[in-house]
Amino acid sequence: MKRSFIALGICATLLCSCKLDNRSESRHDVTRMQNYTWEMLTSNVLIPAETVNSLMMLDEYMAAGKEERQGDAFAWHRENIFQEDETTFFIENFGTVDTRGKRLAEADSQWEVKNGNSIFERTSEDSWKFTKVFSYQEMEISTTVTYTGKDSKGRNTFNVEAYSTDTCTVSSHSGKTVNATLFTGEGGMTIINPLPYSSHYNVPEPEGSGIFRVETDTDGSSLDWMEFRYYHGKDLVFNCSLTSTL
Amino acid sequence: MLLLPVAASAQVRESSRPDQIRVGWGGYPLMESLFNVGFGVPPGDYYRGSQLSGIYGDYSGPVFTTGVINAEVSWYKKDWFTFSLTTAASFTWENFRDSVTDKRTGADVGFNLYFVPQARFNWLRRETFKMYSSIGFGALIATDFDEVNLVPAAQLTPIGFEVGRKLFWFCEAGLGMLYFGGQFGIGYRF
Repeated sequence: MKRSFIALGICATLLCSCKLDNRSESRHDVTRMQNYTWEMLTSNVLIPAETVNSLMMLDEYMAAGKEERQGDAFAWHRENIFQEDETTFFIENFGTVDTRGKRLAEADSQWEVKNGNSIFERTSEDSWKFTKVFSYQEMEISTTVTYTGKDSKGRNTFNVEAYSTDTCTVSSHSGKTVNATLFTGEGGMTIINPLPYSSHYNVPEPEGSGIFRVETDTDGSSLDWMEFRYYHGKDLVFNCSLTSTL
Repeated sequence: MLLLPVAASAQVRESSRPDQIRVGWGGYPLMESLFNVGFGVPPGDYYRGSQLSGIYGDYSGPVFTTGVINAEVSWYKKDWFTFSLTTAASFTWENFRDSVTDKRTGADVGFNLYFVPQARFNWLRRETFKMYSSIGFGALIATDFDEVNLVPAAQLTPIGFEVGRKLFWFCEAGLGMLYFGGQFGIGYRF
């Protein structure tokens, strides 16, 4: 009788260790890399270009006389740009812009988009350096946006060159730090007619082309790369390579 | 339902009223599910900001548990009533793996400690076979890997069986924060 109780106790102990939950699986896959690359392309290339575009529209609005501002050419400006004081303007969806009393095209002009921690610094006649520091992650965007004129359809065209790094400690157990280097290919990317897109004002969707590349490493060991080669409306083309082992 | 056995127990009585100790293993540990699994977040997600943590953060392997291992002392107060003090513990552990290499990077261990006084209502008390129901209220200390919580605990056991004389085995079905489903084990009367 006693032996059977002992055997029962041993069986109970063996049965004790049971699986409670299957938990997660690795999230290191192509889809997430594509999402990351697209998000970085947006914040490093598209947003700087569309912001410069909107600042140029603000600059045009500042230069226009009162009567001229009432024309059809400034319909978007009238509804989306609000002057807060002598040097400060609010652009809908972009935030407050401090012009520091200068026109965008003036030498040494330095406009600041306050709510985005972004600085636009004029670096040459038609070029602006866009820098943005994130308070919540170790990342600093450094992008140069150059206005290259209007295309045959009269749309604003920009050349964008970006080079940024993104650093993140990703593991509480190993303390692993992953670095991402984000950069546009040789010659930068061409962005045509960036936002503010609006069907209401008959503004067509933006287009673009070029290469945007993301490379990741940890402690000097290369991890993955993801390349975004072309952008035209919603046609997105990605190439990538994910390392399976270090 | 708990009052029904009171009447039944009056019909068949055991000559002696010994106190007893029991050790057992409980079924599904509901509290571990809540504290150590349900609210668990993969370590990579603890770091705010970059999507990099989402891609390269560790992922966890299966979560294992010992189940609820309990020890209990009971005192017979009346033919139909027994007072029990139950203490129990359950442990949970899981491994974490690197998202790229799949190599193990570490493990987390959590545990729950229970203290649940219980009132047991004896339906039937024969020499070698007993049936009962019980209800208990107490507290548990639960760790969510990196924080400790003190939580009130309740346990309801609609039906339980004990088979044997001095040395006996028992099984019961119940629901509550101590265990959910059933538990079984051995005991000794003295």
